[in-house]
Amino acid sequence: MNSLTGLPGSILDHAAYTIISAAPDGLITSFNPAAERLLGYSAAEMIGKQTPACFHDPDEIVRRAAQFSTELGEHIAPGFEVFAARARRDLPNEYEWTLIRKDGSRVPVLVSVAALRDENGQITGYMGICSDLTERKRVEQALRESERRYQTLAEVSPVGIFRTDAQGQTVYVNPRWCKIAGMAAEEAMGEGWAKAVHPQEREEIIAGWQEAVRIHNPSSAEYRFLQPDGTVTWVLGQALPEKDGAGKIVGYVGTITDVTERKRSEATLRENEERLRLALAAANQGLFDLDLRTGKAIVSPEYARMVGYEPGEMEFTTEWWRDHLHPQDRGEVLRVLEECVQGRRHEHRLEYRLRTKSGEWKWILSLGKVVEFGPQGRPARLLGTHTDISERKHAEAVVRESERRFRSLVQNASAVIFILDPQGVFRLSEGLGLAHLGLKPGQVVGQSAFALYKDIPSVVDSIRRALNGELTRSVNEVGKVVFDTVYSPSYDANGLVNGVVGIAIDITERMRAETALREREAKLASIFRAAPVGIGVVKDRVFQEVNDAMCEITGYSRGELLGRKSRLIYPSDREFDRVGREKYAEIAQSGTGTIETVWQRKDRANIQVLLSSTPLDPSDPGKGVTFTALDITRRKRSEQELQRKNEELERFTYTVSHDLKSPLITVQGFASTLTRDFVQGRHEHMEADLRRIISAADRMSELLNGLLELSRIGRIVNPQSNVAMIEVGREVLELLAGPIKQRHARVSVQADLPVVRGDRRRLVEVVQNLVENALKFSSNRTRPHVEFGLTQTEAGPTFYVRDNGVGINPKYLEKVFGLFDKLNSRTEGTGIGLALVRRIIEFHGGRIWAVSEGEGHGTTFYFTLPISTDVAPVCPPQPALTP
Amino acid sequence: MNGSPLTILLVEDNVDHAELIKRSLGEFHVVNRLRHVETGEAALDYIRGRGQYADRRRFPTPDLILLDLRLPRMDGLEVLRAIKTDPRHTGLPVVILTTSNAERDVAQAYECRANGYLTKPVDPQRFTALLKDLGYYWLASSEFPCHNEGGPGEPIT
Repeated sequence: MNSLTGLPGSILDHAAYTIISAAPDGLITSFNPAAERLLGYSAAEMIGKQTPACFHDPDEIVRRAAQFSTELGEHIAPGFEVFAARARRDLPNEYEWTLIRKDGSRVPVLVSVAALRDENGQITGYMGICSDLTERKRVEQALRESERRYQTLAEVSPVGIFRTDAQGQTVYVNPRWCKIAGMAAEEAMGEGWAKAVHPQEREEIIAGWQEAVRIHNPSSAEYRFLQPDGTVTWVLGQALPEKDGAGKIVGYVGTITDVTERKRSEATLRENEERLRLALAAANQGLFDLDLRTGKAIVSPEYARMVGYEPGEMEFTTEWWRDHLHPQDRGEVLRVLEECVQGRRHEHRLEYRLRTKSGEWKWILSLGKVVEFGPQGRPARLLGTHTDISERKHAEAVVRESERRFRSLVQNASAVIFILDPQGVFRLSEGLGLAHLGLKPGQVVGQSAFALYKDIPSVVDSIRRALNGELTRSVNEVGKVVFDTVYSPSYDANGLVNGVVGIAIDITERMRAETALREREAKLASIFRAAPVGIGVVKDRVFQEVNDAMCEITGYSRGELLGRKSRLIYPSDREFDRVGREKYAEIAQSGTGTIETVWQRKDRANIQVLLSSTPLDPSDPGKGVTFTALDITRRKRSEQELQRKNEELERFTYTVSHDLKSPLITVQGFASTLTRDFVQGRHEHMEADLRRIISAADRMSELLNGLLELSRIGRIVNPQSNVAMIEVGREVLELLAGPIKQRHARVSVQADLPVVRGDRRRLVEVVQNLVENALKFSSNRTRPHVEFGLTQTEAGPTFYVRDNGVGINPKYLEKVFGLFDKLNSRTEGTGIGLALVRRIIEFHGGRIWAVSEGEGHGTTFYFTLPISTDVAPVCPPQPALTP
Repeated sequence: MNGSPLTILLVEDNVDHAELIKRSLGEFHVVNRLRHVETGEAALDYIRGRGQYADRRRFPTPDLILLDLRLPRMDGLEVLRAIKTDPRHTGLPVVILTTSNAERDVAQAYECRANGYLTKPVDPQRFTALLKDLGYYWLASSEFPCHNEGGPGEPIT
């Protein structure tokens, strides 16, 4: 320590460094004030103490001893040797140590130990210089902390971080980067990162990066990484140059941010936008974006089309819109718009009519909202939609109309409306019809319908069925009122029956009217059925309906007539057509057609019919015609008969007045002449004149007898019997045997003449008269021939009496039957015979007529009589009888 | 016609009536020449100068026809109609003779343009008045000898 003492003590005292010196054996020889300050021990306490001393950490001594032993290759004991070994060998011997202060706290120091030698190079001691490392250690620690934190930050950053050198070669990527890119950090180094970029963008991104590096620009790009598993990640990559203190670019620092989610959102947004647009179009909605300051609007294609324009065809302005508002809506709509413009209102919902390009009106639902405000908060932009609600409006109108009708129906029909709960308890009971039941609206609410109407099973049954989900309708008599009721089950949200809604309409009046109508109908039907005239309906002249009388008249059954053309009952096309023509002409003129026509019965007999027709619908005869048909055959026949009788009567009167008067005139005339001649005494004519008077009187007597005889026919009736005409013929031959013989006549009677029904005596008269007549008018013949027989004519089996006499001018064939009519005044007879014959024949229901080819050709008298079919001819055929 | 003898054609089937008419006309001297036929057919033949009446000297054209209504076959009205519808004889006066004055007869006769109507038995005074009406005044007021060529009452057929 001697040498040490050689150092000026003041240096030691004032040195900033702690200096501690020791002898070669390690005893402390000096301990300067800096050491005292650092360690808290005084020099006096420490000088003479063996080092390492109390202010060394024994563990540190042991660790260093081991370290130095390894470094020096020889055993260094964990004691003073630890300080001295390297100093003795003049090796750098500066190490950090931790010293322990007197108060026990530790202080890091840098200790440099050097060997003190004498002139001979002999070691005289060792000196250690310590500098306090506390501050440095603190700074170092802080730095390490910061670095650690930064590192951690980079490691855990949600963005990928990369760092490149000045040439753009990657030197660092953080784990997040690796995750985003799907690539290990080692692979990303240099230009390896580019392999992780999506092939579609790879070249573009590399080129962009290289360009950015070349011109030292910050760069930014959005691109995709394609991971090996196929995952695509959108990133936003940004990089900034990194400069040192001198401003020189030393590299680039960059981040990549995963924007896949944002990209997806953007796509979704775009999709949503498109969807919205489609939805708007589909919902018939048009968009408008109105600039409230200019009055100009941007509109969607749907908006334009809604009002009849092609998109872009015209510019929509508030002015256009104002002009196209419906006058009835304009006031209200403009008021609301004005409020928007004034800022008193930020939203609107309006329904109004707009005139379209073609001039029709469309109902528009307009929803709008102010979305932008100008200075002073004035509304600047109104955004909204237009919806075409014309159909809805129309539907609403229809519903309103239907409701109105329904309501008025219900009111006028005196209906009762009611609602029952699942237990059949009235929940509602309203309607004018309640008055008919003596109830007030709502009076029965709360009461059970089952209880109220327990005596009316049909009501109870209907309610029960409706509660079981069946829509029921029934007609019920409640008190004296008849209700037509519909019971409709009502359902809750789960589809379960939760009651019955009913409507009951008072149909009492209607029922009464229906009953009356039915009765009237029945009455009409019975009239129709039983009417003594034929009644029916035809359509297009085809029978649709006929009554019993119609069947009787025509002889056809209903089945045979219905569906058949009425031509069936006409004798000819001509008559059928005539009736159609004339009847319809008359209908067209006066509404009803009445015509007389002829029908042909099923049995081919023709009948006279008075036909009256009226169309069912006067404006359209095609809908059918109803007709009545009256069989006037008998009436016609009677009419004809009556007319004939009248004529006969007239003729009779006439004849009587002339022909009975005629002999009277003769009597009167000659009686006057006789008187005068007698007075004057002239006698030459008297006898002849008297004969004339007598003759006239005789004739008068004859005429009167004839008339008497004629009047007896039909008045004095002999009983009808079966009369064999052959017998009649024989009798006549006997009666006329004289005249026949006198005239040399041949009279033949057909052998197989039938039996007829009639008055035998009269029938003998007939044949006698006819044969007599024939003989009378056969005087021109030397050999008169008279035949009595039976032949067939259009009238059926017909008797005849034929002669070969003078014949009759066809003009007078009818006249011969006239009373007192004679074709020759000079022939004998009164002219009553044939009148008598006709009367007898007609009385028997037959007809008589004469046929002659003309004068000189003979005459045949034909007559019919009712032939008995049930009686065989009395005589077997015999040769003709000739007297 | 004035001064020449007047020819009357009587158409009457009843011989008694014809006789009575001839007598009464003769009695009053109003007829100088009377011709008589019994049927309508004969009357028309006479008027037209046909058949047996072709000789006009024996059967002169009549100046007046007395026509009975009730005739066999063709009756008086038919004869009247035939005369009045024949243009050659439309102007020939025809006086209807009848037993009755039935309205129907009178009406029908005038309808067929008969010139007069007399009811049997013929009253000479009424007959004279009728002749005057027909313009035969001279005839009605003159007296003629009662004779004629055919002879009164003599039937022609």
